[in-house]
Amino acid sequence: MKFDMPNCGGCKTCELACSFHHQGDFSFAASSIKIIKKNGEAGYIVELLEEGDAGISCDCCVGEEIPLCLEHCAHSDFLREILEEFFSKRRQIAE
Amino acid sequence: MSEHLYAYAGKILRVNLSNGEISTEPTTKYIDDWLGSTGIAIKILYDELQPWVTPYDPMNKLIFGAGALLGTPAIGANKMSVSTLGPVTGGWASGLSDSYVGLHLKYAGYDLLVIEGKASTPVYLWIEDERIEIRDASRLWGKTTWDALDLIREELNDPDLHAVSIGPAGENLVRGACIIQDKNRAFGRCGTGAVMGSKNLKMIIAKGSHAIKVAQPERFMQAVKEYRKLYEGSNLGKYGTLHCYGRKQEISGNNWKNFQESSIPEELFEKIDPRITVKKYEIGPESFPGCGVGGCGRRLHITEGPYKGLKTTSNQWETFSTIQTRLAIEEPTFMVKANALCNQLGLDVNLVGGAIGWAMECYQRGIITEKDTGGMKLEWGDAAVALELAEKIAYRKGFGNILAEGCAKAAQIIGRDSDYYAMHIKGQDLYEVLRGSVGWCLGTATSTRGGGHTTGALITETFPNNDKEKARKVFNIDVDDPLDALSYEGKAQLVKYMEVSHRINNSLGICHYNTISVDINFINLPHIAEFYSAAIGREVSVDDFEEIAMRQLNLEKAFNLRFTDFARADDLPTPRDLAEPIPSGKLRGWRIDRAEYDRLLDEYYELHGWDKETSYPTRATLEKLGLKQVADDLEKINKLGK
Repeated sequence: MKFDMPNCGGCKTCELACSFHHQGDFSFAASSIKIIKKNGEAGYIVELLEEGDAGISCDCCVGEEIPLCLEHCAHSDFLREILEEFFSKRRQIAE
Repeated sequence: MSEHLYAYAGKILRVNLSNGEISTEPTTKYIDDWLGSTGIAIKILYDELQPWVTPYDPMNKLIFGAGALLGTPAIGANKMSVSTLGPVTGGWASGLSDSYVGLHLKYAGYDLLVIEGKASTPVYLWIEDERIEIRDASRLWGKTTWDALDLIREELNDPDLHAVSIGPAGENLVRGACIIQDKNRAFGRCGTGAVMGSKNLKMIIAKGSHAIKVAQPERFMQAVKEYRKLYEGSNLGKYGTLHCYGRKQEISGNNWKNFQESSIPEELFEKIDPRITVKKYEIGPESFPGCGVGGCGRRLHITEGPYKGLKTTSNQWETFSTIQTRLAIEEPTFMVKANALCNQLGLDVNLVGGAIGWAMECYQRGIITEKDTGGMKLEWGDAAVALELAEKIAYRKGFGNILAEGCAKAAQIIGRDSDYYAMHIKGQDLYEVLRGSVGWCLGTATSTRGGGHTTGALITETFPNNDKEKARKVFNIDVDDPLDALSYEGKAQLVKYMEVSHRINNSLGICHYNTISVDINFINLPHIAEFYSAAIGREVSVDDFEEIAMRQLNLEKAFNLRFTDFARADDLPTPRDLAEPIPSGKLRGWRIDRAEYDRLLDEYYELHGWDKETSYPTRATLEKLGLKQVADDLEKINKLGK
């Protein structure tokens, strides 16, 4: 699922934190959040991987107090909204 | 990846462009003594370059290093370095850049990349995990860094590829050519781009799919979370390095008309305020992994004026000061245009500003005329002329061919006593305003890379809102105000502290802007020791860091002694800085006291265990650091300190 995040600086620290949640180490490859460049516009696209997507799908950071991507984001207000929307859609699908 | 090596990727990759040989060796043997990145690079350069090698010789080596903490979310861990025998000073050359390529290099399995030899035709290097290929780059040659990256991303259908590349300046062996990371970040100074050009290497692309592990993950992540709190409420991300604008005016730290003046004329102060420019044209932030301040760069879209339509990223203080105000250019958006152009051409902003600034001052004084410049009038404030000259420098056209040598060598070519106006340290164009900030001056003038404020200068003197009580504690120094820019007291000790701090940052890949370099409340050596110890699973103390950094500094020094004639006189500020008081502004009349400076330099050499007369390291100093062979080498060339 893709979201626009106009104030994302593209630092990808969230990707490293996410891979740590899944594997206990750091990589871009094992992250279920992907920060994708937009064509010339400000901000980045935030993609959260779901089942069926290539890669490890987001498990809504089960077992963590705060989702790790959010905890390590310098512009977290916007990401919080994105996660809320994503988590709520995931819940709807599950129900 | 080695099973027992944490934080590091484990291998050093060597690529020989002359014969196509590709090999790897373990990083392990270098780690204890040389830490990583810049530390390991100087060790390899010192050991492997024969004394007769010259910068553009195929036998020179170009070494990229991914900081030892790169690939982890440690605060500020995003810097990659490049080191070589450089064409600007003729000695140790090293520059760093924020870099996704560095992270990918680690994830591909390599801590360092050593480029050897010279390709017979233009090539680029593809690194994708274990797949290493030297590929034809003839269609990229001649292109700007921006066009070359766009073309390769399109060809390979991968818009997220990250690359480091050279532009026309590197291809044309402009002495101050830089290597550019993607489009907007440079491995600054020292002419490393020209060495890359001399090897016919246009670009390096890295893509890594492996992971980096730390030894004590819980402790490591706890430190990351806890230290992030140090940045809460900081506004250093808002304008990035341009944040220092007001403070620079207070300490007469602004460069106006090639250092003739140290302040921006009051009537222009607000008009050209670069923070206003950024605020006006900002469309979003730009940041790099782990950054504590949320990114110092800004994505800008200029919507009016002579550069209308320009979209670019990351405008930093250095471009503003070293080109815009040095050349007295009043158009506020000029800095954005100049920055973008230098990045496209792969040019160091300091060489461009330094050479053109020297030329404009010589023109002002009648030393250079239109006969020298091919008919160009070099008037202060002429933005079009500045941009035209930058292009001519990159392509070595007309008068630009002389300026491409940098101000020091250009002054030698022109003669006519023009060298007094060539503002440089050890042959490298100077950006730092030295009068009015003693610790900043000492660290810059003594720097082994030839000027520059990232290997020992007391940057905090020049940044606003730093607290003297806190500074006393952080630097563990007993002077009234360690950050009093005009005081000589304690400055030798403080510069030594910063030499350690900067070298550890550089070797681990930590951005100085995330540390006490700019804000005394940010992370410092003890925090970094905690990150590193948790990452590798072995306790490394601040004392260990000091020993490693001093070993590195002494080897840089020895490397310079082998390849150059540098001595005590080369650790002085420029002749103008010593001869002229500050002419205007808040510190009008203040001057560097030569006797005080000499005393400070004595103290500095004494603290390092270097010979006060020559600046050379002594045998005792070198042996204490485990560098007996280096002492023997220096003795053979009669450069061992007494």
